[in-house]
Amino acid sequence: MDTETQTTRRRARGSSEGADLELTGICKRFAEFIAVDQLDLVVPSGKFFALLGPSGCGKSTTLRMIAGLEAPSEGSISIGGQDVTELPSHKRPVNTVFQSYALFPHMSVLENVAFGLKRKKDREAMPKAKAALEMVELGHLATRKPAQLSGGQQQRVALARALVNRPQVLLLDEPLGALDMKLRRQMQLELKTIQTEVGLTFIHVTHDQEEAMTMADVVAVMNEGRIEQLGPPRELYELPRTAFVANFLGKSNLMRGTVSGQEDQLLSVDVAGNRILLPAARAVATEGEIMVGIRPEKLQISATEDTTAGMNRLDGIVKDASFTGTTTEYLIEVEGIGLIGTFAQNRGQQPGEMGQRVFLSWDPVHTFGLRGSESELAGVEEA
Amino acid sequence: MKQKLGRWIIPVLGGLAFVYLLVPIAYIFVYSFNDAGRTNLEWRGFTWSNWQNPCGAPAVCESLVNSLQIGLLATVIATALGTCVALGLVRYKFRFRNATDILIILPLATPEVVLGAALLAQFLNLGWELGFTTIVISHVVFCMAFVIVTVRARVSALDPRLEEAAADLYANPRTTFWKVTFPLLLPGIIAAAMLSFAMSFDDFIITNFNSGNVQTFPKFIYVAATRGIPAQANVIGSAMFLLALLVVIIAQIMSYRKRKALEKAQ
Ligand SMILES: Nc1ncnc2c1ncn2[C@@H]1O[C@H](COP(=O)(O)OP(=O)(O)OP(=O)(O)O)[C@@H](O)[C@H]1O
Ligand SMILES: [Mg+2]
Repeated sequence: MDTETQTTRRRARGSSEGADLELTGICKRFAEFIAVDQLDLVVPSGKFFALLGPSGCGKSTTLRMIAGLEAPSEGSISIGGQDVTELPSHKRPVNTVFQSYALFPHMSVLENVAFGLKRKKDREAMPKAKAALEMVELGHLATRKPAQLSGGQQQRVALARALVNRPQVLLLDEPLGALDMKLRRQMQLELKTIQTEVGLTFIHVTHDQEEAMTMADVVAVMNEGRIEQLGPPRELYELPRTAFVANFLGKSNLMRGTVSGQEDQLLSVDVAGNRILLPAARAVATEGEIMVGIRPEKLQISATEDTTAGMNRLDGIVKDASFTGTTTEYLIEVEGIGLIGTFAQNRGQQPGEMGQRVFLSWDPVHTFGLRGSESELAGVEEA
Repeated sequence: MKQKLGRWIIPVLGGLAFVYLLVPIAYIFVYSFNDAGRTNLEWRGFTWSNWQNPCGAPAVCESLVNSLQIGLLATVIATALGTCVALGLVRYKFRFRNATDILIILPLATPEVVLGAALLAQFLNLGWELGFTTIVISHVVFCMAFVIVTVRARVSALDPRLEEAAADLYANPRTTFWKVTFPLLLPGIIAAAMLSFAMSFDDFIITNFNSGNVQTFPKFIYVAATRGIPAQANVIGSAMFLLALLVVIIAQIMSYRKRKALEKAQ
């Protein structure tokens, strides 16, 4: 769809468009505890932004500050260029799908959905609310009370209740957590469609990496109140800048080594006596002790040594091989490094059996370099 | 054999306990039809006349009207003030909050004679004439303590996230209160109001200290007891009981209907 028709469609719906959201130097302290620490964030209008991070890292707190339910200890928030830091919640063009749903128990499902429209004195509150309920496939339950719905149904009501207002910024705090796989996919599509059609700005908190990667234009990985890294999903996955991101988003093999030289933009790193090459531009640190990382799927595993020039090579003993159908997952013990994970597509071959020596190789362009001071286990348990 | 006994013992004991509870009420009801002379202590024959003419005995209805008025007024004041205090106590953090909690239960824990006497001393000190106003003030004291305790439990159980959701959906604090907070507290407030009314209507000791020559229903009965309670008092007592019963039955029917309607909706 070209932009012109998109704009006309938006006008036809008579709804507000998304707005830029900007957080500057946001801090939130609860007594001594720092829940959000110096957060700077710009989400351009109409973008789908996903916030990913382990439990307790401050995602909900960040959303609550954007919604105006929690006052930041420091910093400012602006929506569409207007400073809203001091604006009370009910005056902000923001709606939230709460992690706990927070449906009004004394109102019917339909009344719940119409609540925001009625506050805005929308004449078509009821028909719009009905349409929103149809959209989440709950039209037939409009007269029920929230307590008479299943968790997944309640979640969809919460979604409809926020979406129906077409706010400039929509905050979603794990809005699909209680849904089964099929419904989840369906709602993801629905959300994405609404977001692109109406051009709302979405801030989506989720635990589900796949959800964040498939839906979002920009993903931010958050840890202990800070944003570790922010960028388009592919960039975040292919080029993590911290061990936490490398481990939290997908899996990574991280190996410690010392930089031994540089030629043609390629660093060569001594990892337990092996020479590993990596593009200098893909390394956060280029001197001394650094951490070298490679994603499991980038590794080639074979029973014979790959002799192609310019490849990175390691060899080790198969410690574990688990067959999952489409792939076989391997854990390979490399002397001086430890366990390296990889998998091989099931193309009928079998590169290695338990206890057998195998050879690993990969193209240096996939390698990334992290700071040596980091722990290679950061973010492993949380993922 | 043993099992058979076990199966009987609970219904039998339960039935007895029930009878035990209801005997005084049954007695009052039956004797409201007694063709009583000066005293309504022995059965002298059946009559409708007490029910046809409940205000027949001197001062019976006057005292009843007084009690109803006092009860309503004290309930309205105590419920309104008590609800505000309960909200304040739960929602706002301030110094000495825990101490306040204890102070509020004090009127309930103080023996009624002490509370009555203390209030009397105060009214005398202020030079107020004892009567309708002083009774209402006294009743508000203990009713309010009761309302606070009841409503506070309800406020504590209220999920603050619901009010946040309302604010998030463009409701200003006032709308949030009337559309979300108040409806959710309403069952607790109604319960508190009903119990308040019952306590006020029922109170004798504190009233006796602070009523001057205003007659309330309990006071009337107490005084009449020395001369013989008129059968009209039984009529009024029975009528109140029947009224209460009616309310309970209506409530049951309504909740049954609601349940049915919901089952149908599903
Ligand atoms: N009102 C509060 N008082 C004190 N600490 C709080 C308060 N609210 C949140 N916290 C703390 O702030 C941290 C961040 O909480 P937050 O709810 O933002 O986490 P989250 O990232 O949303 O986690 P989850 O994924 O489990 O929902 C937590 O450690 C939490 O204990
Ligand atoms: Mg959360």
